[in-house]
Amino acid sequence: MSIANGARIVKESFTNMSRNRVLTVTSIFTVFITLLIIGIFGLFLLNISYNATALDELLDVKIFLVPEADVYTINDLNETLNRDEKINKVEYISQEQAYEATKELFDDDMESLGLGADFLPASFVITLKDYDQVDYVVDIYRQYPSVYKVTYHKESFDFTSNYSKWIKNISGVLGGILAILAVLLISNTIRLTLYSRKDEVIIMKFIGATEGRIKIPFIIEGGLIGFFGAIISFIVTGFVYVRVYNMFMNSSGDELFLTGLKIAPLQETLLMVFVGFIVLGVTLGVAGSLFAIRKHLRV
Amino acid sequence: MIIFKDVTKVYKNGTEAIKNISIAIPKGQFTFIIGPSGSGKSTLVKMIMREEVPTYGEVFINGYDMLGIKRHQIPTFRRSIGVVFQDIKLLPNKTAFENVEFALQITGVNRRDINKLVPHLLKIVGLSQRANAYPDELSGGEQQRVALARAIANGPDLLVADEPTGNLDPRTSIGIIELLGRINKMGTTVVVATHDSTIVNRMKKRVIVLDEGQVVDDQMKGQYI
Repeated sequence: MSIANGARIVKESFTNMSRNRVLTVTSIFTVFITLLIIGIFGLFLLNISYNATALDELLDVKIFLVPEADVYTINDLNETLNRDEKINKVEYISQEQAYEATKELFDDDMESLGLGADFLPASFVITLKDYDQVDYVVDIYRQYPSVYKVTYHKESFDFTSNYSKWIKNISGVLGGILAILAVLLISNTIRLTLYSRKDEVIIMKFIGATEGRIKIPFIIEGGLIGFFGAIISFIVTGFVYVRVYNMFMNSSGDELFLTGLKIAPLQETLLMVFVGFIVLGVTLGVAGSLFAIRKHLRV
Repeated sequence: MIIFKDVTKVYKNGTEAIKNISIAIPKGQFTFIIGPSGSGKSTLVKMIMREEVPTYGEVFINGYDMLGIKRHQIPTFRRSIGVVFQDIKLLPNKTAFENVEFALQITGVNRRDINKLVPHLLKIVGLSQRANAYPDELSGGEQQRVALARAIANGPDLLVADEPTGNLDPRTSIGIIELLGRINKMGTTVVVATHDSTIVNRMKKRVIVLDEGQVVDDQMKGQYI
């Protein structure tokens, strides 16, 4: 295909879009809403995962050992924990290490209080691969004779496990429904274009145009609808994210800062959203077109 | 050039449009296919254009087997035939020149050749002076001439016209059919499906008469029955 032919085909697609202005705008709007919702939920999830390190501490499981646990027992347990497929990371904290850490916290007042290095038990700090498994893992290791007790921050696990799942499910379902709606609407727009260009399509068929030559302007049209929807979505999502980002960055003295929570970096995130939106928008548009023309444009 | 061998066409709703027809139309011939409504003329034309395929039998057009032809070969096959419709089907937002140009653009002819070919084609159909007119500025006859120029733009071996004078007055119809005669003299095989007795009787060409899906008469210098 020559450049002139390519340019003509793109021009054809723009002409069709302007002919069916109302439907085109509706379709662009649907893509916009779809991507906006997917984007907002997506950014929320992205920031949750970005804060995973911050949350990690809250999602640790601590296995405290009985004082009489000897080096062999500790090594055995260490090996068992490292072999356990449900466990992601294992860290051993000796009595001395625990003591030193606590000492820092209490400004070295420990000794004046008469608390020695054996005051705190040795422990294993583990993180899990799947937070849903926490109860199961805790129950198992609690039964070990060398284990004094197992602790974890139940609320954090419940939040991470339930809410992140909930957010994922909602964005998945809502995004899915809207994506289907977008595909159907775009498909409807293309079908109307097809109807308004019925004669042209018939002429093209009988003149000997290839199936690709007939279909490409319609596919480009769908792609353009998706593209424009994605651009508008990006502008709105980007604007909201910049506002939230600035709010976050300027809140160094208040609560947000104290929680230790971070926000994903602006430039990288916006670039990722831009690329994601364009790819998703164009894919939705092309899918809508293909759905509309799959039967109607056979040579 | 055109071979129908024991062809039967049954539509999905059970209508038997063509019943065991065998026809051969050699290269360069001018042939009328006539018959009343529902006689199977349009189905026959559709099978020539490969818009329909036979239920039974074999159809060969310009050397292509209409049942065996692969999907990707259909555009190439269609470039070997020109089609004229009863409702003309000119694109309303394009001038006469652009309508003819469209056929050449679609098949990938380059701009330089298009600029040479279109005026030549419009000259053949006698519309050189109307190149910049839009379809709604042209008479019915002129529109059909533009459609004819478009149909022969890619130099087809075969020209198929389905009721080309259906919407025209008798005088204009004669002009169109004489133009088809001139195109035929240039070497193109012409098949015209019609129920216009005036043009059939004037041309004294081969006439195949269909009735209820069967060939009931076939004469080399036929008259409208």
